[in-house]
Amino acid sequence: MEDFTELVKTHQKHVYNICLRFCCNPEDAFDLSQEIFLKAWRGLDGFRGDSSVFTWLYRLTYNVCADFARKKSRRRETVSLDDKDLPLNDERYEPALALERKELSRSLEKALELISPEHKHILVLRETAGLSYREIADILSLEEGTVKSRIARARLALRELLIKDGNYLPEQTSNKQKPTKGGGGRHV
Amino acid sequence: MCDAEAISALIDGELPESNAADLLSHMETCPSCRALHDDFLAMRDGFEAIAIDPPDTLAPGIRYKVELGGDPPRSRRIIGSLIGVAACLIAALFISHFSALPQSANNEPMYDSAAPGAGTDYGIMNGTAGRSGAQDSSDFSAASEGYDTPSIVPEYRAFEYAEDGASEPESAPVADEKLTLTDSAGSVLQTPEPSEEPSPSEVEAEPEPTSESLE
Repeated sequence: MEDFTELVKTHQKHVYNICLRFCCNPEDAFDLSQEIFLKAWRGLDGFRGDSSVFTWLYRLTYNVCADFARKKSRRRETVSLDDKDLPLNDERYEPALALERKELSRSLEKALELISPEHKHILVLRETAGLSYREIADILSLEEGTVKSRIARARLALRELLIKDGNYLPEQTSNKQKPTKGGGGRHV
Repeated sequence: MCDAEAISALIDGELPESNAADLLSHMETCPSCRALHDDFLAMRDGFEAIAIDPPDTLAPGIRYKVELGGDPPRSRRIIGSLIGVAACLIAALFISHFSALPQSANNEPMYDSAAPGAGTDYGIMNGTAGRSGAQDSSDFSAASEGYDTPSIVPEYRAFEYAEDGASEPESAPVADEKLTLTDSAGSVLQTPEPSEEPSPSEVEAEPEPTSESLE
């Protein structure tokens, strides 16, 4: 039980935010997160150890969220892009966000809803949970090379929408940052 | 032409060391690759900005549900089943006990209209303890026509009415096991329905001798 408590404590933010990206409202994200951890609790005994607990948990997270997204699309529920459905406009969650940051973040969220589910899912796994290409490949049952190219295409698609939106990325981006090797580490 | 895949892998730390070095040197002289690299990093910053902390109730709620909803161990399931079965048996015994208690439509004692003995009426309590509730006390009322005068073989004492017709019994009957009526040959008699039974006031008493009859 202590191990499980530690698992929840360490990963609840990532799991919750992945759910939030998939279902776009805090209530469903809350319910999905609980469902995921309950399933993790019940499935811990059956965990064979052929992958890390981390990968196993996020595979479970992805499967639950993907099922939810499929059911949601079957019900033809339209994703509301109204402010009230986005957590950023809920003062409980982001009371201190500057208006400009809120506008930029809103643009990003809108763009995420417009790219294909395939691109969205892989970007969410990469950017929200900081999963490596190897881990994403395990979760999605893809080759690592496929993950690499799909992430790149997802970023290009998102970028294109953000440039068109004009709020997030100006058409000509200045050289604000010196390119570096970057890091693939997890967001902790 | 910029290699978006390489730039994407670069910012994720997934590009092999040698390839990463080459790309970095290239980007120092290629504005479009540098712009693409910067945009990808800006989008990553955006993902971090839109990530929020889960509600405080999430972890406690998970713990609560885990403690409540976890499957019970096998032994507890067996014990729970046994308790359920025992409860059903007790309920069944309780119901059968109360349904076997004496039952009378008008809560009056049953009478044997053909009881022997002049001036004597017997009021017999129907002792039906232990019997099925489906069987009523009419089984033990007086024999109908065609039978010999039955001899009542009660397993308990019947109370007697006083000769003057007072209804108070000298002694209360003790309701006990079942009462059977047999004829002189010892055969168990069938009895008519309770509705056919006369009430005590309807029982025809032997007329008292009058002074005229005695003379």
